[in-house]
Amino acid sequence: MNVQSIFLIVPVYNEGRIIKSVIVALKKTGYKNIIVIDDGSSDMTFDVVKKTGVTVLKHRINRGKGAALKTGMEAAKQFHADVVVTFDGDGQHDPKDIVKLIYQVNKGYDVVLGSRYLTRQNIPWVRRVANACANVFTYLLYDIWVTDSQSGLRAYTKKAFEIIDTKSDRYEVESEALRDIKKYNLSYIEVPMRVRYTRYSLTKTTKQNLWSGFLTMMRLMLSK
Amino acid sequence: MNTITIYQIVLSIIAVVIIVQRTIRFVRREKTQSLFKYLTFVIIWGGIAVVSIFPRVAHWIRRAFGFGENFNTLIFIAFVILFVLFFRMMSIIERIESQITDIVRKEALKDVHKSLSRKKFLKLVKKK
Repeated sequence: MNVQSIFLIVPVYNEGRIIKSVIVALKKTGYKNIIVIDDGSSDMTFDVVKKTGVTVLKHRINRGKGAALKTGMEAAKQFHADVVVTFDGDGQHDPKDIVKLIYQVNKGYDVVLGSRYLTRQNIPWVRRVANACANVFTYLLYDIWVTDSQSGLRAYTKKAFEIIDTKSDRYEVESEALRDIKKYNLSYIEVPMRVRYTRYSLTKTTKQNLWSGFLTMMRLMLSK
Repeated sequence: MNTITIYQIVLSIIAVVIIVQRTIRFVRREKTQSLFKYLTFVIIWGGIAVVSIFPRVAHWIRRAFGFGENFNTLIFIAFVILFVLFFRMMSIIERIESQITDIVRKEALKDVHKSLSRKKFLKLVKKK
């Protein structure tokens, strides 16, 4: 796989304090095509990203992670990407895991899903419980079982990202993508990924909590 | 013999139409029509249909819980109306939100090529 045709999509919202270090770490991996989508941040995120020299797109108002990811996918299509890798902008993911995803893409999988739960890691129990509920709920709704249905680190081949059509603007987009993987019989595999829960990422008010997880479930239930 | 009232007919027709519609979508395996979702709709609207066609079911429930009859009926109708209105409003809000997102996305992508350096962009297009 030509590195030039791999695009990293990083949705961000008010990550001005940390986004520069995330982009620097991503650049070190050798994947130069980085698209950052600033989802209507009210802090200095956009200016910080612009100075790093990567492609940055701005949502005028905050529309949610799902909307930002879809904008990134659309941009990647315009750049004739062959593979897109979605990567959270809050510093939780380890850029070194991207190579594991690309390795599986090269083996022929349409979608590669990073999973926090395939290896023993220090993950807060609230997150574990919330994720287990989300996994069960995704399975009941869409008949697809994965160990980390809410993982933001994923790789999609051209075949996958051109066919997957998510409608959700918010966090339920991850489950919606799984729905389409099942619907279109796309081949997929989960690979273990490292996750770093820092004080910064855990205290961010925009992160998923039990209440927003419940709302996500309701939206999935009521989605068309 | 019990007489059938208009609200019984209207409610049962609505419930049957919704169940049939969902069944067709489920049989056709339309996207997002999982068994769980289908059963949820069948149980809710099936319950409404059963209570409206066989009000005695409501009487048994009433007896079991000891509620007053007429007042209970009014509350039931009010709940159905609110339920329908709630779903209608949810659907309108969702549509408007989706339209806002489309506009925001179009604007963000308007200058997408400007965000790449000309050299890099030409290289990417040339590759294809």
